[in-house]
Amino acid sequence: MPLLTIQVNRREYKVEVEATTSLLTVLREHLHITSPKVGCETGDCGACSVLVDSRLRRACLTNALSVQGAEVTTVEDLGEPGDLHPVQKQFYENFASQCGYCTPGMIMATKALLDRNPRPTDKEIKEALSGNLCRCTGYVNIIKAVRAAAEQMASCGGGK
Amino acid sequence: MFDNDFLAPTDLPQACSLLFREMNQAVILAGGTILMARFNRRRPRRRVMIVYLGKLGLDYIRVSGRQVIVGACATLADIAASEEIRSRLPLLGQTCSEMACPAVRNAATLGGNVANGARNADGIPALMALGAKVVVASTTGEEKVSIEEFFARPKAEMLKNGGLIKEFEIPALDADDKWGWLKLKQRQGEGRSVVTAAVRIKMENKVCYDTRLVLGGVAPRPFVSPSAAATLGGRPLSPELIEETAQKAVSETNPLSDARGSAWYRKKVAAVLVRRILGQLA
Repeated sequence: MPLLTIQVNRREYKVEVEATTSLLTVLREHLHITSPKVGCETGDCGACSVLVDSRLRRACLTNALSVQGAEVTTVEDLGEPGDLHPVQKQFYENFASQCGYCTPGMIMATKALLDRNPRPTDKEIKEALSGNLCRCTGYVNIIKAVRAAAEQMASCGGGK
Repeated sequence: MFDNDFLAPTDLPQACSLLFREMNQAVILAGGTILMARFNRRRPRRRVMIVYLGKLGLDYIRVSGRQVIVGACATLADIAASEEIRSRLPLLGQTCSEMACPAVRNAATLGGNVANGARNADGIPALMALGAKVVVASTTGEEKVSIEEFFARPKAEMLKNGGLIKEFEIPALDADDKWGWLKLKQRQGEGRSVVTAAVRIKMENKVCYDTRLVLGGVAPRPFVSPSAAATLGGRPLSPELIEETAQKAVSETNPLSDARGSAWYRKKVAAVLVRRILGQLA
């Protein structure tokens, strides 16, 4: 089987993968990095959103071997208990999560947005998160959290 | 489990001869947003050889005289953000910015959208309205055909010689070109369209000539409406003429009923989109 060399959360991994394997399968089943969730597997729900070379991607629709040598970032790399990334902290403080299944994807989509556009308007926030579904919160608190994260990151000079 | 292969050729002739040689097993992968969804739904039931086009360097967008050349592997996000596209082909830029959702646009390619050829693929109406040409590379060399001609030919014939889309050659919009683009989708982040309409008209003193009105999602393939060109040709846009054009264009459609909308609804909506677009241009 072909060998995949990939950087995930600043650590290099070498994995043997089948040609049709998705990045999501590699992350979850080979590397046991489980923040990207298995949702629809058709690209509609956004639960598997990760950054590939700093761009937001669907891990479920990304062929693992097509991102040979790439750098993948998941929520695990952003922060940890006691030292949360501003986006994580504001999702927590603003109750932007209920069941939590969509949250890792939402946080990665938010990070991708704020890295590119540190002061987004509400319209831009909604557009950036349009591909991430949440069936619990009704989105109001999520948008509030994104706004708060943008403010926090601006006030501490671009976040972590 | 089959012993599937994954190959990432680095030059075009190599890719074509690979496709030619492995015709029965080769599956072309570009952005992966269509193919991987298919694999996720059902593992392939035969051995496949994935031929990945991402290493061919076909992701360029460049200007060549009056033409804009868009490589088949340019992503929808890159096209939507491109300054060349915004200034010369705003119709295409708007189309790409409204397809799918941000994460999918970062991977999905224009070439993949066209090659997949879905009835509601949004790239196709935009390229048809703009009079784009498709450059097909194969083991027998390169060939340039209009996008209508591309779809008129049987796919098997193109693939027989290891053919793949290399790039699109799109004439830049002129100052007297008016354009419009509207699409109905079910919700913001799930960008698959129910009905799409794209229009490009050359207009002089409000008189239309050289109209290309394209409807998508209402026939097996998006199509350039022959009656719209005939109806609008040489006449000034008036509310009556817009109504007549909308009715005639809709009479050419042959929609399916599916989970996104019934045939009846699609016809109604197609007429509304045509009216709105032409109304904006009047």
